Amino acid sequence: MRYFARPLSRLMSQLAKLPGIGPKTAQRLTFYIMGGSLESARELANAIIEAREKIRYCSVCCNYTEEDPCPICQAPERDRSLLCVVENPRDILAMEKTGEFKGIYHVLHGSISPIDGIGPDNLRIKELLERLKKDNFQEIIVATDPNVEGEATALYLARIIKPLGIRISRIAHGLPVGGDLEYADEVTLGKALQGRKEL
Amino acid sequence: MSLVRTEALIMKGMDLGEADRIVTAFTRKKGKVRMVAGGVRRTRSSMAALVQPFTYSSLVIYSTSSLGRLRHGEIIESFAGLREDLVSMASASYLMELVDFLLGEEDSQEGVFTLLLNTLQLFKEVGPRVLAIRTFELRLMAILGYSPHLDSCVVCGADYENKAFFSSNQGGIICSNCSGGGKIPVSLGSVRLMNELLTKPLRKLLNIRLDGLMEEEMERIMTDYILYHTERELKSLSFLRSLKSFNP
Repeated sequence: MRYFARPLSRLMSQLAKLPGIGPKTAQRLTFYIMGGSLESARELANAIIEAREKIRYCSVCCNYTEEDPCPICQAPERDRSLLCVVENPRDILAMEKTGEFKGIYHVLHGSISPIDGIGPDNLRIKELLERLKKDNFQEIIVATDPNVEGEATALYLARIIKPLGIRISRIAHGLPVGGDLEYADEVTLGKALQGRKEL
Repeated sequence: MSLVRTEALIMKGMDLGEADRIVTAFTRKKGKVRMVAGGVRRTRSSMAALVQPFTYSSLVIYSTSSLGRLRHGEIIESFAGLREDLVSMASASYLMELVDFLLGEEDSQEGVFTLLLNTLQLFKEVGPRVLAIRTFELRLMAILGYSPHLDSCVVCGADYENKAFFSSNQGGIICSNCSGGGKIPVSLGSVRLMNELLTKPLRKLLNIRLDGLMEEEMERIMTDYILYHTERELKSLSFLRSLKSFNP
């Protein structure tokens, strides 16, 4: 017996393909969309199609962009001697929110994970090397995640960039602001000690 | 429904939802188990370091079905150094992938756990030595019942003399008079060494000087032998190889 009309089942199965959305959430979202106006459903559908059609990779930094090069790569006030390498476009947003970084970016679209079969060839490392040869950078800041894949990516980048004579640095590991020292794990606390600063 | 406290080595993980991870760990009591580690992708999570690959810890797992839930745990040895060196990290990933591939879930194998832990400890102390990797491969295969026959010709039982071959298909050494599929020529020195790797204490083996030929022969044999049993090349192996040939 079919519980839902065919278009409803189709919408549920499409929504259930999204990350973090199980069958129950897909059902809830479907009925939420059905409860709204036809106009808002159309807007949602159009937004998905527009984003998918108009967004492409920036030919310079590999970030998602509507115009090529992306606004950050075009901005004249950014420091072009400073390059921050991140794993994915969401990390750029996190870095921009700090307001501390005025350089430009390069997005790798992933990180090295030998056990999952993701090697350097699956990332935008070739594009990064081309940029390094073409442009004159003073420093490369590797801002990959502080996990095993992010560390492996940082180590690999250091291995290929150091021989080019460009300074390469890694963002610091340490305690989160507002955290409690007694609940910090020993690895983080150890790293925080290593990276301590003179007052 | 049960609450299990056990020592564990973290093998790998995959993201789940907003901030969780499904972690695969090799535990001393229950073998390979998968569990949900809630909120560990948040920077403030006190369990984030606990679920990093290679970490040796004491975990409390609440299991209701095939997928348990990590309640809490304590790091015994983080093996952080293995994550700070590319070859160590790739080598340790290879060990983990091999165990992950050859063992099913909840297949308790204390011998494999001890072997894995001792090899990681050795990597930490002296680096990812080729001999330690070969020893691990041989001993793991032996524990799981796939030990290659190295004492005499596996076909006719005769003692091999100057010339010997290794056949993964036959499961060991074959003499020049016998034939077997996919024969790999092997020197007597390599055969003797492989026998020693199976029996002698791991730390004593590190003093053995390995020449280029023996290293090459043993790598070829073990890669072929493991491939014969796994039927596909392990993902971390190609990365490990690319690092060896990589000289910027």
